[in-house]
Order: sequence, then structure tokens, then C-alpha cells
Amino acid sequence: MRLLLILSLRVALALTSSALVVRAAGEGETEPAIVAFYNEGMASFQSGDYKKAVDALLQVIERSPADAPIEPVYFTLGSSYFNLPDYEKAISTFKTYQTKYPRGSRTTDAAVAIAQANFSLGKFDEAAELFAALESIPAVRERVLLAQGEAYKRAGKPDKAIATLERLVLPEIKSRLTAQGALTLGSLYGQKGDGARAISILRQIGQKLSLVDNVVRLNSLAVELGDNLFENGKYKEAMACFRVVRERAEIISFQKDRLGALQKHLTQNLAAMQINPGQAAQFLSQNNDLRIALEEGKTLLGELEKLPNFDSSILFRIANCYFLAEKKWEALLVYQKVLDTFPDPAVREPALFGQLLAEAEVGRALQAQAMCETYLKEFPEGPNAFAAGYLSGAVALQAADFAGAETRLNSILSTQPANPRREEMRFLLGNAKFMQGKYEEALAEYLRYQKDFSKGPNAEEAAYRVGMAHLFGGRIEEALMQMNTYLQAYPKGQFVSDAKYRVVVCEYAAQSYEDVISSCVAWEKQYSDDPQLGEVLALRGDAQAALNRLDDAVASYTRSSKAAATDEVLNYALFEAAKISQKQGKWDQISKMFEEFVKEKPEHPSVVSAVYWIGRARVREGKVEEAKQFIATTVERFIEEPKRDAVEQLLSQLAQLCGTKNKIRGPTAASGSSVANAAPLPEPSAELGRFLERVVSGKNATAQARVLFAKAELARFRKEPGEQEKILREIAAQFQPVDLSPVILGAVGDVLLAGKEHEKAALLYQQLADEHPKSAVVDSAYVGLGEMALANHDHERALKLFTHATDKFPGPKIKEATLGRGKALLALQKFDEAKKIFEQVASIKEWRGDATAFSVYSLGEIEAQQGRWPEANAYFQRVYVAYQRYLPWVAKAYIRSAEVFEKMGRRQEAVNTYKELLRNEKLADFAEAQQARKRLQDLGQG
Amino acid sequence: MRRRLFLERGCLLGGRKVCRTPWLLVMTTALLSSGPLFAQTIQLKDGKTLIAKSVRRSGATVMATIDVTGGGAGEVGYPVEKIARIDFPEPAQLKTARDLIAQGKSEAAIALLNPLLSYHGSFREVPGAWWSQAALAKITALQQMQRDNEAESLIAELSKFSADPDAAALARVRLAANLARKQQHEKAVEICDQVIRESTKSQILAETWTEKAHSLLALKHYDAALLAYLRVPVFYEDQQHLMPASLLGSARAYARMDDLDHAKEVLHELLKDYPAASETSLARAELLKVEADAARLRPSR
Repeated sequence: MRLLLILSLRVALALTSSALVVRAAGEGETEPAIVAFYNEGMASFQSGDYKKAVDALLQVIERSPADAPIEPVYFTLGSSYFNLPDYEKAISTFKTYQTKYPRGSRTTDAAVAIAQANFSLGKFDEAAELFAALESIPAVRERVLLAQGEAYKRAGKPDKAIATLERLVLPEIKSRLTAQGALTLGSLYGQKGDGARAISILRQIGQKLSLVDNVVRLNSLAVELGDNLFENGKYKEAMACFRVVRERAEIISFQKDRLGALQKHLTQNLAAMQINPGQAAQFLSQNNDLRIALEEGKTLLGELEKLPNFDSSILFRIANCYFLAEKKWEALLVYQKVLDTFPDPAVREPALFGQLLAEAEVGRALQAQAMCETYLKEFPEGPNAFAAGYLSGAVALQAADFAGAETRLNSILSTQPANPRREEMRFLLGNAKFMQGKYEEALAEYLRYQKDFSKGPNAEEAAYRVGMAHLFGGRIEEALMQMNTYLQAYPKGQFVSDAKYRVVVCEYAAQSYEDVISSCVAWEKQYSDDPQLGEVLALRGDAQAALNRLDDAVASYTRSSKAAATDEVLNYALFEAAKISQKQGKWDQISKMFEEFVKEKPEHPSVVSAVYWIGRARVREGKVEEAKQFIATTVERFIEEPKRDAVEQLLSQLAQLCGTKNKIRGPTAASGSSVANAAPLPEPSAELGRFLERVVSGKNATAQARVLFAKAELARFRKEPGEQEKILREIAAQFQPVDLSPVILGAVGDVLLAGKEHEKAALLYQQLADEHPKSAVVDSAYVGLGEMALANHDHERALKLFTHATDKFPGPKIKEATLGRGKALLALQKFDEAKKIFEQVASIKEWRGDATAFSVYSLGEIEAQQGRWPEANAYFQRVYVAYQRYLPWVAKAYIRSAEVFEKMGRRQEAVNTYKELLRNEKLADFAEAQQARKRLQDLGQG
Repeated sequence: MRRRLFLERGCLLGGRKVCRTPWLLVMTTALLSSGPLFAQTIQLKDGKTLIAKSVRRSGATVMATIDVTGGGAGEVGYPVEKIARIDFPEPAQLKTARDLIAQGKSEAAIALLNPLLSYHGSFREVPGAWWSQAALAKITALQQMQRDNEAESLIAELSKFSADPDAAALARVRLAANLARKQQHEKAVEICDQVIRESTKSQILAETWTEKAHSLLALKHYDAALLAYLRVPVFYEDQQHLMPASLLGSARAYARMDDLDHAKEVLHELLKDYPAASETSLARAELLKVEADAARLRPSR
């Protein structure tokens, strides 16, 4: 229709001065009548009364001779029919025009009008062909291509429509009509499922926004395409479409900028006209166009401002695309933006739910839980409230926050009785309790599950877990019974192989070792390819070891290590086999086993430990030089990798072999050589230096630091603590924490801590804790940081750090960590908890020594601080009587014991105690001796 | 056209010919000049607008060469305080310098920027001058070369004299970058947060989030760093120059969180989509590290 209006306007303009028509009228008719009809026809056309125009113009034709030059009359008549609309007559009139005036001034317009009329009659094929015939005329090319494309589209010929519009639009959008065609083309690409081309054309349109008359249409197309692609699972492509959609504010701002630019252009023209009045005429026409564009632009802006805000729905679509395209972190950002920007609950509810799902998916359990709580608070009856409730517990469980999971699942089970996931939550509650070691409570939950949901989807696992809860709770007989019940109820169940293994575990617990061995054999026959085979073989080894069938046990452990599905089982089996072989003195066996392991799994984290054992075996076999070479070769391979903890173990071993050769150097009696025949011994540091020089050549800073560490180890073996400390300090001075391995970070940190260089030590400990959380020595970091916190009187933080070391990362510093906890608890006056800790330390045989003396002393302090003097004194006296080797604690214990006597008013016993301290010559240099002397003077005994 | 304009500017002053410059000499000068060769629009505070062929600063006055009635050109002075804005055409050297910086060729970029700073420096307090943008580019180049003291001095100058609030905001972001280089990451994050609160421009926000992400990564707040880096591809996709840094940073954050698959994917994307970026060598090294970590963490069977 737009096309026709243009035609009409042009026709009207063409006829305003057509006196020529009148002059050419036939001689047989009176001229005034024709003129009157002509004027009436033209006036009616211009006023939009096409019926009247038709009647009048027909009169002109009827009254004019056949050869009269009334070309504009025919054209206007055709246009009038078109506008009525009477397309058939319009077509026939325009055809007459074409026949009568083949070289007429409006032949192209007539052809376009015929095509357009056919289009309007629904004769799309004919219209398309007619438009196609006009494509070569530059003046109408863009218009007819656009119309032709539309005709093919309506005719249900999208391929032809696409081909036509591509001729219009490609290679670039350069006019309003091409932009219009591009929108249709994009829509057609979308319908054909050609997402890539649709997106490409959308992006092109987006870059030529100034040519788009109706940005809203662009937005609609982008949303429609995006939604189609989304439905077809093409999330990235869908997102690309949604990204083309312009935000409401952006469109408005764009439109305002456009208006501003037009206004500026107009202003500049006016300024230029003032300077060059001679060129005013040229500017007048341009300014007129600018004024029209400004008016149109203002109208469009008004319409845009009335549009509802669609930004939230687009953002939400983009967030969903990210989520489903497995880009959860990106989804999080967009959901968050929706939540931050749009308070409308209709938008907020799904966005909140989307965000909590995304948080759960990326593993941010705390944030996910918080989102669940926010959701449940804001939308307790929301469409996703049940899912949010379930997730609040499930997420905690997944994040190993078992206590948190228990709390949440309990809460949801009581507040959402209609939650359809109740069955699963009951089951998960059992798991949460099980994982906390609350086997009794877990058992109760599983039993309740069996009662409430006997046919539930987790019924089989619940039955199995009932047995597991009994087993882990130490009720072996019940466990055995339940496992057998499970096996009877689910003979083909998913836990059958494991349940049978657990039955064997029960037999082992009942010390029925022969049964264990035969059951393991039977199990292996039935499940020879089961990943649990490694565990079963290790259990068989345990039973054989218990029966002292050591060779059989070693064989079982060796097979277990090869079949192990996890590093835990592998390490257990390998090192159990090594321990037994060591007891048997079969070093060749140890060597062979570990060599095979290294060969089969050269990249396994335990390789370095295996090499340590091989080295030991070679030494025991008298092959000291071979051992050194072998260790050095392995060190060379791994020395640049800071995360290989065991490299330090090998370096220590190498340092020890170089430093203490007199004790260990071969040859053993079995080897047949003799000490007398041995070559002269090289100087230890020089020898170690030669090895290190070889392994470190051209290596990184980690390797260089490790060389120094090896030298420090040599100093340690040679009992040169000053030298050892000097070298460790050298490491601190020369290297960045990032270059150091976990063992070195811990060792150097400890030296700095002892020297009260807290800031430097903290950097090393922090690096260890942050970058090596899986290291076996990471507890050094928490102990070191804990000691610093204690020194700074930040007892709460100290307790937290020490507890972290004991509970989460128990390692070689477990004793120091436990003592640290005791010290922090005592400082916080949590006497009962502190007492438990110190009693525990004092009772551990392996820790006997300074730690015991300190613990007994601390137990005295705990009593003393509560005013329980006799109990306190008993502990202090126990220290100086039973732990005399630990002089610092003995000295302190004397003083505290004497003070306690004074508190109790037993002055003479206090005096005796002070004097006893002074009689002990080993305590003469202690500050406490001075203190005792002064106190005796005060008491008149000096 | 360039030659003609320059000839006119050189040969006409006050509406009469004052000199004749040989053509060859004029061309040479034109090539070396950092001043604009195209018209500038001067907007006066009283609402008047005029087109000047060239402008120069003379004390508190801006001297504009304009066409005069009856042909020729003349120079007219306008007090700076009466000028609302001068629309200078964007200097081509600025884009070239930015491209050079993106390729890590800071020294060459500075050589291009210095004459630009010198010319536009005389208009630095006038809105529309390109001094702020040139100064920002030079700060980036200086930071790339770790000439932090010079960068800080230019940042201070920019904050003090720039007529462009966006440029002042970006100067604060550059300051944050300098602080980060000195390991003062908490302070850097604080400055970035201020800019993020105050700005609405996507260029500024994208740069600020990237800078904040660098500091968060250094502070080992890996998930926060990742989210900050991802803002560039998610919300500021048009800021393509920041994409390589954002991708490299997000890969590092993924790797630190043991999400090695994502780290690898992002590094490959960076190497494929931005092969000329200065971050590629770092990305290759990071990729090797990530692959080594992945091999180490792979189950033994």
C-alpha cells in the first residue's frame, strides 16, 4: 500500500499542469465539457474520492478521440481503480496505458502498479514474476526486489524469496529499503533453520540501526528467532539473537541522539546560511527534509516511550541460554543483574530460582544455600518453593556440609509436608547423618524411610545402608544379618558386589580369617572385573597377614596394588606389602615390587615415595652407590615440580646417604665384600654437591631452592643446627614463596617463626595453605599461623587454625596442632575442652616426651586457674618428678608448685620447693632459679 | 583536500596573503603535524556555533582560522572561558597508538602520542580536546613498560586538568592498576568499586571490572575474580580490546579453582580468536601448566 501512495502522489504532481490534455481533446466534442470532466476527475483523485475520479476520467476517455494524447488520464484512472481498490480494473487500465503509450513517461510506474495489484489480489507468483521483470531498472530496483521477495514469501517459496532478498541486501545494508528487506530476510533464514545466517543478518542490521525505520520490528524478529533457536537447543545462537535486541532505554536514547543530530545539522545549516547567504536556496531544500525527518522521529520516539519494558524478559532469556549452554558462571552474572535491576516479583521469582540453580551448579554451596533461603523467605508459596527447599539440603550435602544438610533437611521436612521430594529428602537426611558418623541416627532415618516409603526409588539403597550403618556403628552381627537380608531381597541389586564385600568385612571383624580368605576367593571368581577387586584383595592380604602367611599376604597386596581403582587402596596395598617384606628382610622383593610400580605408573604421585623405598632396598642390599644414582636420577626428573612432596624425602635420603656413609656403607656379609676393600670415602658435602649439581643444571627456581634444602638436610644429619638454620634462611632470602615446594615452605616458615620473623613466615605459610591444600604437610601452615595468632593474643583465630590443622588436614604436625588447640582453649578459659586435649596428648605413647611434660604442666594450670590448688599441685609435682629430662617444664613446675603451696598457706612446703629447685644444678641457668631465690629472700629464707 | 586546506591555512592570515610556502615544504609539515587537518566546530557558551579551519592556543585565547565573507580566511580569537566545546576530529595517530599498545609495542605508541599530547595539551581543559584520551593511552603504554612513576605523574595531571569526567574515571582505574602492580590489591579494589558505583559507561565499566578482577585474582578470591572477568564477555561484548585479558584472567581463575576443563577451553578460545593479542604467549604458558596439572590429577587407572 505504501508503494501505491507514492505512485499516486507522483501521478497527482504530474497532472497539476496538464492543460496539454485539454488542448489535445477531440474536435467532435465541446472542449469545455472534457475540461470540466478532467478537472473534476483530477480534483476528486486529489481529495481521495476515487469513485468520483473514475466516473469523471471515464467520461474524459469516452469523449476524447482514440488518438487523443491523454496519457496522464489513463494513468490516473488506473491509480484510482487501484486505490478504490478494484485491482482487476486497475490492472486492465494500466495494461491499456502500456499498450497505448509504450513509450509513455509512466510505463515503469504502470508496470510496478500492475505487479502490486496482482500482489494485492493474492496472485503472488504472477506478482513476483512481474516484479522480477523490473529488477534491472535502477530507479525502482530496491523497491521491486523488496516487493518480489515479499511476493515469493507469501507464495510459500522461501528459497526464491531468500535469493531475491539476498540480491537486495547483500553485500551490505545501505538504505532504508535494504534494511527493511534485511529484516524479512532474517525472518526467512530463521524459518529455514539457518541460525548462522539469521544471526549474521541481525548483527548487520544492528550495526546500521540508523537505517531501520522501526527498531521494534527488529527487536521482535530477534526475539522470535532467538526463541526458535532456544526451543531447538541452539542456546549460543539464540543468545546471539537476544543480544541484538536493543534495550528500551537504549532505543530511546538512540532515537534522542538521532533527533539531536538532525537538530544539530539543521542548526549548522542555518549558521552556514548566515555566512553564505548566496547558498541559501541549496540549504532551504535540505532544511525542509531535516524538519520532516525531525517530526517523524519525534512521533516514533513518542511511540517508543509508550512501549512496556521488555528488558527483563530479554535478560532472563540470555541468562537461561548461558545456563543451558553450560556456562553457569555467566548465567549467575545475568540472573544477578535481573535481580538487581527489576524488583517486579514476576521477574524476580524465576531469576532467583535460576540463580540458586546456577550457584549450586558451580559448586558455591554457601551462596546456593543463601539463595535457597532468600527464595523461601520471599516466595514461600512460589512455584519453585519445593525445589528450593529440597536443594537447600541437597546442596549442603554435595558440599560436604553434612551438619548444614541435616539442619536444612530437617527444617524442610517439617515446614513443607506436601513437598513431592519428601521421600528423597528423608533418604538424604539419613546420608547426612551417616556422613557425620551419627550411625545410630542414620540407621533410624533409613528405617523410617523403609517404613514410610517401602516402595520408594531409594528403597534398595536404604536397605543396603541399614547394613552399612550397623557395620560402621560397630554392630557386626546386625550388619551381617542386614547385608544378608539385602542380598536376599535384591539378588541382582546394584550394591550386591559391595554387600558381599561387606559381609567379608564382617567376617574379618569376627576374626574368621579362613572364612575371609575363602569368601574373597569366591568374590573374585564372581566379580573379577569389578573395580572393588583391589579392596577385596587387600582384605584377603589383611587376613593372610593376620594368619602370619606373610608370603601369601604380600602376593595379595601386590595384586591389590595392581587392581586398585583408587590411589588410597593402591597406596595401602603397596606399602603394606613393603612393610611385611621389610619385616622379612626381603629387600629385593621390595625393590622389585616398587620398580614394577614405577615402570607401570611413571606419572603416579606415589612414584617418588616408591623410589625412596627402592633406594632403601638398594642400600640394604649394599648397593649404596647405585641407590644414590637411582635417587638422583628420580630427583632430577621431578625436582622442578613444587607439588611433588616426596622429592624432599628423596633429597633427605640422598643427603643421609652422603652424610652418614660410615654407618650404612656396604658391603653386607651377604654380599661377600669387605669394609677393608672399600674405596676412600669422599667428603659428604662435596659428594652431595656433585649429585645436586648434576640434577639442578638448567632447572627452575624450585629446583635451586631444593638444592639448598638438601644441604640443610645434610647439616641436620651431621647435627649442625646452626648451619641448617643458616641455609633455610638463605632459601627465604633468595626465593619467592611461589617457587617453593610445600615441605620447604613449612620448614623455612618454622625457622622464621622461631626467629619471631612473623611477617615473612606468614607469607610462606599462607602460600602453603592456599596453593598446596592437598599437600601432606599443609598442616604446617595452619600450625604456624596458629602459633602466630597465639603470640598476638588472637586466641579465637588460633583455635580456628589449630582445629583446621587437626580436623581437616591432619599431617606430620598433628601433635603440635593438638597442643596448639589445647593452648588456645586454655587461653580462652575453656577449661573442660582444654583438659580433654591435654589428657589426650599425655596419653599418647608415641608423643611421649616434651609434649607430655607440657601437657601435664598445662593440666596443672587448668586446675590452678580455677582455684583448685591441691589438684593443680598434683600435676605440677608430677612434672618435676616424672619428666625430669624436660628442664624448661621442670623449672616452671617447681615455681608454680611453690606458688600453689603459698596460696594454700603452706609456707614451709613452698620454701622447700623453691630450695629444691635451687638444688637442681641443671636448672641453675634458668630464669626460674633467679625467681626462686628472690622469693626465698622475700619469705626471709635467703 | 588536505594539501589545499593546509595551503590556505599557511598562506592566509587576517584575510590577506602573508606568505608563500613551497608546496613540498607544506606537504612535509602536514605529514609531521599532530594538529588537525580538518575543520573543527567551536560551540560557544552563548549558543553560537562556528566552523574553524584550524585552531591554536594563545594564552587565555583560542585563535580560530575561519572563512571570511567575500572569500579567504582570517584568524579570530575567542576567550577560553566563552567556549563550551571544540569538536576536533579524532586524530588518526590515537587509533594507531592504541593498536600498537594492544600489540605490546609501547615505545612506538609513545612516540606517536607525544606530539598529540603536546598539541591537544594546549586545549586540555576545553571539552572536545583529545588530550585526555591521548594521556590515557600513554599511561597504558607506560604501565606496559613498567614505568610506573611516569604513569602516576600523568594520572595525577589527568585527574587535575581533564575536562572529561570519563577520562578522569579511567585515570583512577589506571591508578588502581599501578597500586596492583605494587601488590596493594585491597586499595586497588576499593578504587575500582568507587568507579563502578559512579560510572555508567560500558568502556569505563569494562576496564574497571577487568582491573578489579586482576586484583581479586591476586588476592586469591578466585570465584569473585572469575565473575569480575566474565563481566566483559557477558555485559560489555563490544569492548573487544579487553577480551584477551578477560579470557586469560578467567582461565587462570578456573585453573586455580581446579576447573581445568574450563580453563583449557577458555585458553584455546583466546588463542584461536585473538592470535595477535599480547596475551597469547602467557596463554600458551598457562595452557602448558593447566595440561600438566590435568595430567597429574588424572586417575591412575
